[in-house]
Amino acid sequence: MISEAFASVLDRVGRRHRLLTLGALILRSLITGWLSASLFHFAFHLGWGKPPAGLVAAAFALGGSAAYWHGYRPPLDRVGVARLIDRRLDLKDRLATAIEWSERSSPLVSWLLQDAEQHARFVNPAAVVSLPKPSRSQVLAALLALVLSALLWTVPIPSGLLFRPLSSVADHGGAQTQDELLSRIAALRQQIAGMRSPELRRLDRDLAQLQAGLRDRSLPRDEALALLQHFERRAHAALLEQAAAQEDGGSLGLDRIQELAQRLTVVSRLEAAEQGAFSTGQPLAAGQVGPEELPPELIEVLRRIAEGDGSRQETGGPGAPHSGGGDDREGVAQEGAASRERSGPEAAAQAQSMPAEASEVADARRGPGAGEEGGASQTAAASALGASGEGTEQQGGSSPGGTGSSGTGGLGEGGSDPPGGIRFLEHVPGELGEGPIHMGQVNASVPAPSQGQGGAASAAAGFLAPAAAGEQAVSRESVPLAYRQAVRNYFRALEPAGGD
Amino acid sequence: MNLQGKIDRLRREIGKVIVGQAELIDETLVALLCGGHVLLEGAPGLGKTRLVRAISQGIDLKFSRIQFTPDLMPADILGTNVLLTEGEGKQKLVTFQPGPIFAHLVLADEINRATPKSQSALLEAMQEGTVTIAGKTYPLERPFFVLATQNPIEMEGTYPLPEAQVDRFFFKLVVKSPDLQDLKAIVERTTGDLDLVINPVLQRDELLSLQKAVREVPVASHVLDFAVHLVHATHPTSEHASPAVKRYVRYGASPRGAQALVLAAKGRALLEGRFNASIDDVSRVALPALRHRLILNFEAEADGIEPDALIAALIQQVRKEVAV
Repeated sequence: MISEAFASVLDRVGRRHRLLTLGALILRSLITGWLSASLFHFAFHLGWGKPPAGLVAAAFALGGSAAYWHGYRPPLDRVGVARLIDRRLDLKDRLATAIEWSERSSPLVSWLLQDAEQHARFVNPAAVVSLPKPSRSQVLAALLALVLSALLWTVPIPSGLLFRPLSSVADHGGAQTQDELLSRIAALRQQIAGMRSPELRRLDRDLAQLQAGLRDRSLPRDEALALLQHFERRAHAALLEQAAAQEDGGSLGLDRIQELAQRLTVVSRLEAAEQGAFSTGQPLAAGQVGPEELPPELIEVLRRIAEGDGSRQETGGPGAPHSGGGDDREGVAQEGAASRERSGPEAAAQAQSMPAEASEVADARRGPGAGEEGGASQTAAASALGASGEGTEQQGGSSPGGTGSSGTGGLGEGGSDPPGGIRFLEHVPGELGEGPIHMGQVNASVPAPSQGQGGAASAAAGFLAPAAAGEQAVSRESVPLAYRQAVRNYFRALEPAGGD
Repeated sequence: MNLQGKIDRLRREIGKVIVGQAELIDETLVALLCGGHVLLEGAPGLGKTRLVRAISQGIDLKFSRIQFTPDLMPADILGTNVLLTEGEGKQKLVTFQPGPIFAHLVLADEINRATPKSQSALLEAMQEGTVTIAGKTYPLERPFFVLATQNPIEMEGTYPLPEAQVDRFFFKLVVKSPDLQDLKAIVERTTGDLDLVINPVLQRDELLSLQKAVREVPVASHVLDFAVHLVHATHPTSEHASPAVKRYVRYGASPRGAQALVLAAKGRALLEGRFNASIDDVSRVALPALRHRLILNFEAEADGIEPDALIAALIQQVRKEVAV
């Protein structure tokens, strides 16, 4: 048996060894956990994006736990402590051998025990288990690791290199949520609501469709955002153009002409005009209309329209009227205004603002002697397809100054002269659903081939260019965005191969 | 005078005639305390015979020297029966005449020059401690200590000891040439008129007691583990063997080597005045205890690899593996 003094020395050394070992293990675990969290943060940020705080904490705990588990050693027993003392103080295994042989009786064992206790009396626990003194290289390595780990947290790191970022809409730099997109659409529609420009009205229709597509989730958010940005650019361009037109003052733009044409409710009948039965709201009879029969305001409007149409014809705008010779007769202009393209309460309200009088489009023949002189002419016509204003045709009007239009048949007595004159818009109030068929209008406008005087113009003259027709159809009608190209292709396919 | 004092005095007495071989003297004394035999290998003239004679004088043991030659017969070593005429009637009696082996300390000089038959006679006596002649066994008086010498230079016409016979020696000590200062001292002492007398320090009974005490020296378990690991690591098939051992060693140390290792560590501790064997003691006696027990292959001979280098590397390796 060993003495109490000997045992006390062993216990003190063992206690100090346990404390220092545990402290070093905890410190090592903390450092390992910190490095693990730093590396995890860096790798996750690089691959996906900013990691959640919980995952970083889990990485810290995992790294620290692994280091603790790897470095954990069971505490030393007395024999282990004795060996530690023998090794640190170079006691030639005296203490360990004495403890192991303490239960045996032998002269040598007793001498050994005495010798061991003699040496144990002078054992200093601090000399056996001293605080670790890291070397210079270890200190530098620790500092370097600390600096690098700090850099992993502070240096800007590109994210999402390996995987798609969690939110792809954010890359578009625009709206991220559906509500934000809808808000932007509503704001844009409110901005252009007061505008009467056909372009802006078409844009409003498109925005309405986009809004519906977002609400019923039939349109992906990314595509909706791209469309919205496109519509915003269109609105901006249209507003700028409108503002420029207003500043210009005086000259009528194409949109303005269309707008005026839609507002006109004057329908002329040659017969009524001759009889002087013209009055506001009454259809004019077919026949010649003398300038003295028309109200001054209408003359002014028609003049302005004519001026605008003339400039367009000079530039060869689409839908220029057929500049035929004298053999050509102007056909009956197309039917009335394209109020069918409107739908909904907006259309109904606008329809109510106009006289809801059906009217015929009549040709006003030019008065005799009227030549193709410059000057004002009373022309007011717009084709029913003239949503883009391209169908505007000018016909000679019975004005003193003659007409400036070209390509229109002049007035003439009898049926041989191509009908010239003025065509007026026919406003047809729009309503949802299938409307009545205006058979009477068709019959009046297009006489039977056996009765008619022949086509005023060639069949080809009655058609717009297929591309233009397709564009007009797409713009006028409420065609969903996904089907617009199909409509355009349809109209292009109608293009005649050649001639009539 | 205590044990340590006697040991120190014995060292000094031997040191009178043996200069600069302190480690050799200690290892010889360790082997003597452990009751083992020693194989001394060295060039001629290094004092191998003088060492043995000095030890025998310091411990007051009966000494005999056997010069091995190729014509040496076993009877020349062990003894023989002779016909003697005794008594008044001139009776002829067969009497056993003991050979030179019947001594406490036997010097077998140039053992590799004798025939294997003569070598076997000596080695049998070393192992058994008895001599059998004509069916009659004669015990050898204790302590019985054989120091055999070998000349590593002149190997022509010699009979190298087989490995199985070499394994019976407790230690194999290499006698090194003295350095300049030691050589000068040797010359001064041996070429003058000084009559160096070695006084006996230990008696035969004291030596026997010491030999018994050596076996009672405590050894800690981790010291024992170290010794066992070290011996086991000398085998090329061991999982603790180093790459060098696997490459150069054909056969490792036998269990007799482990016994010699632990016993020698105890004797070393006692010689230094300690009452326990330590890992350091095992490390210090590992070379003399194991160098003649490792059988190297031809590649080791071609590369000039010595067993001492392998054992030294193994000691460092096992120290790390069996660390506290």
